[in-house]
Amino acid sequence: MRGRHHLPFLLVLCALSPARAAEGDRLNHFLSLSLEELMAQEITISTHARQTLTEAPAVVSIITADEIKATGATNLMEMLEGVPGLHVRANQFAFRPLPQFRGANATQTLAMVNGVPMRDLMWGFGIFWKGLPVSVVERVEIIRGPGSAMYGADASAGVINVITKTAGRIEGSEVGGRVGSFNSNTAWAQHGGSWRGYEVGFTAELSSSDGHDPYIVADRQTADDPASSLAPASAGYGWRSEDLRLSLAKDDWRLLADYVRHSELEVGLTGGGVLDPLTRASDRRYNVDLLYDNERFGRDWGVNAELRYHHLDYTSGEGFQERPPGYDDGSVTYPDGVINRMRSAENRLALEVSGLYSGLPRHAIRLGAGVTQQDLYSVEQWRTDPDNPTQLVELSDTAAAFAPENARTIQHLYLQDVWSLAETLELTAGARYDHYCDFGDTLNPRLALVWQNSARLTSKLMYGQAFRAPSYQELYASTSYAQPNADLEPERSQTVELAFVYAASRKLQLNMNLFHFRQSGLIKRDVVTGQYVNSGDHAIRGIELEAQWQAARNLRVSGNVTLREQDESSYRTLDEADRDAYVRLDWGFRPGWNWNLQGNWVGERERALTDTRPAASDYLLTDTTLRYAAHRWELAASVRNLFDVAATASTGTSLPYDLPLPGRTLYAELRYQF
Amino acid sequence: MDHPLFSSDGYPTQGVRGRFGRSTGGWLFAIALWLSAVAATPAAAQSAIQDQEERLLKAAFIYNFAKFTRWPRAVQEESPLTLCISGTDALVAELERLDGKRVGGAPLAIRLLQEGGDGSGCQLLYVAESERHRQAQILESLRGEPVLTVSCLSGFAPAGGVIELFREEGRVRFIINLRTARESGLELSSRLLRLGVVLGQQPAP
Repeated sequence: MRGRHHLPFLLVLCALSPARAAEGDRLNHFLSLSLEELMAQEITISTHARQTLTEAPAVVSIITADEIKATGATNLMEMLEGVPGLHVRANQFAFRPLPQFRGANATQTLAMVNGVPMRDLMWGFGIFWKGLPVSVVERVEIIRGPGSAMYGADASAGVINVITKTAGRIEGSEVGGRVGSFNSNTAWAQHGGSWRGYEVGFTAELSSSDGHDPYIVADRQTADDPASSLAPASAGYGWRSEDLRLSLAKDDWRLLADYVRHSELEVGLTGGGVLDPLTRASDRRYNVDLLYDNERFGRDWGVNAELRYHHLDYTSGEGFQERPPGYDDGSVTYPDGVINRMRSAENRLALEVSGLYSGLPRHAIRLGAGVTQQDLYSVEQWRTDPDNPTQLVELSDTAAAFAPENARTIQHLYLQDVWSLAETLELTAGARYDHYCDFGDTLNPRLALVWQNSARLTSKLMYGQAFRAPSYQELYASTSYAQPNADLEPERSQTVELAFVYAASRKLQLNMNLFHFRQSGLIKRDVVTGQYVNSGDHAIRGIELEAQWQAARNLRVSGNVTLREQDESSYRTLDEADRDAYVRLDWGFRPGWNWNLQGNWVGERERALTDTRPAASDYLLTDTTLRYAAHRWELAASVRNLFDVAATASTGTSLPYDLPLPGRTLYAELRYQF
Repeated sequence: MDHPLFSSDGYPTQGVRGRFGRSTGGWLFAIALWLSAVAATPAAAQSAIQDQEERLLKAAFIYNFAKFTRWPRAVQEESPLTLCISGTDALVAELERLDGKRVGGAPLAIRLLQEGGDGSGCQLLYVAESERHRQAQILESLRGEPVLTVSCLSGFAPAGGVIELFREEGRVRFIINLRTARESGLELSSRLLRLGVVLGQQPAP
């Protein structure tokens, strides 16, 4: 890799170039803010008053609703693929989109919607996580790198915060619809306005799809008991969803109420990699958040307070069908297969109060404290009885159930100081202490130095520690795959980053980030005891290069390249590429028209050390979208995977030939604003 | 490449094992390089950067004014939405960056008016600081026209401009002349009215 030796040249070139600002990026940031947020912006280069994610001393990307619209993405997760260092892995179970940062597993990603973590106690982003429809998204703020010093658990490799279209952020009304391949149909409506002195926001989206139903040549069952395997067959990935969000705002108060439901959801394959045509699952998620934000609470004090309630429940319906009918495990034959029906529910109640003190010159000190209670309840399970394999036996409220009904309380406290050491030099130091009632304490500090070297160049040197709390699955749940371990410690990580933002000219901006990310105490199933243990370490290093070029008035080209290297170990994350690249072109060739073309290349997906298969094949996916806006109407047509490339998501050995991704997909969209 | 700390053969390739930076040598070197380069850069004038920040913010405000205004039907449906600029000042360069940005469905087009040109045919008109002495004349020529006039000139709104931007306590604020807006047939969103300082609350005669 000779090219990499030029890297220090670039660094020095950047640092030495004389001045004028990285304005384009800054302007785009301002354009992505609401009027209210603009009103709150202090005119200063430092991050004193309101530390939004963008201004945070971190590597940040922002995606706006307009940028999403131009690409024809239908789900936010499709959009994330274009962010450097971010890859969305398609999970074989329910084709769940799992956002993975910088080569780490998605368990190291904190995903939030309006500040609400999507993480549940058991399964990650919720067992039937399907991303988020783009119609509800106002903008997305993405931090690559650690965020535990501010946000607590899971923010090891990256943080995604989705800001939805809520009261005060949308004005007027819109209705729209989209039809596409795989019998995909979507309709949405939204409205923002005033009502009796309140700002009101409402969004609704209904959608259904039959799924791309990939053809699975061989599944786990093919290896275990080929006679009963359903493979070769298609894995069904159909689903329906309803997404309703209502918000009210008045003065310093905001109330958000969201309801999301998935139904008729086919999982296609079980987590173990066995074809499951039986399951039609469903889940519901709702939350109510009351937020108070007063930046002028006292003379030198701004105060934020949040009270959040969040509920999630799900049922696997008639499934899961863990093994197909006729399965013979060597001692028992299961004429109806092995059925494992699961239901559970959880509530989360969280309160946080934080204050920003700006009474000390050159310092902005934020102090926050909060308490969260997460409660897993209504754990119900029925499973095929090995002693009577045509019957199901209820395991609910027994020690054999998949999880205990149990609550977890977390208390936290954080302190952060942004200190302007000099006019162009700013040091951020902070730490967050979390106390978990189950595993105990964790303290995660961070330190960042942001240097406005010249008006053209900003450099950031950063260090952060982060953690992931062991899930209930790892602590308490006996599954067919692993035994729990109540003594688990959190997984930990340390990251060092060096980032440069450089405005080469008014039309060209270049970013470069170098990182070293070391995880320790990773939780893995011990091959001898079959129990989860804090076992090994894993280190990942990488470079992310980005460029944005306004080539002409109506032509913008942007792209990025990520190069990574990691330890040869069994901790290598599934489907993570050591090389990936993205390029995007937007051309407004005539007034009202926009043509978007984007390409995503994924390369060098090595397997984990314990997997002897050759590396998964590289692929390049190309999407194109043509959009036309006139008066109040907007029309768009998209082709995703334009060249019908046979791409796969790399999976564990249970699917020996990996998981096929969708082929060429067509969409047409119409919207009307009034 | 005249920097004393750096020359083309100055990169310690021996320190780099594996693909890149498996050793910390590469890292330390990069950091040292960065620190030295940074130290060699004279501190940019704080005020210049702040001014820049203010201009970018103001440009974003003007973009939002376009977003939250409704023109009379015939004008509203024109595409692109034209933001004209009369005269010159430091904000003009930032406004030019708005070219092609979408407001609702329509792209924004930036048009620099010739000296002495009026703003008819524009949906928005930014009156730059060099037009200080022509302000009254410009406003008079646009009286009753559906043009959203914006300026940072002090006294612009009381003199009959639609929106005047100003700076207060380190933040950008704006004054709306509601009477002019109504006389021009412009419908400003309730959000703008809530956030701005509003002159002429009484309905137009």
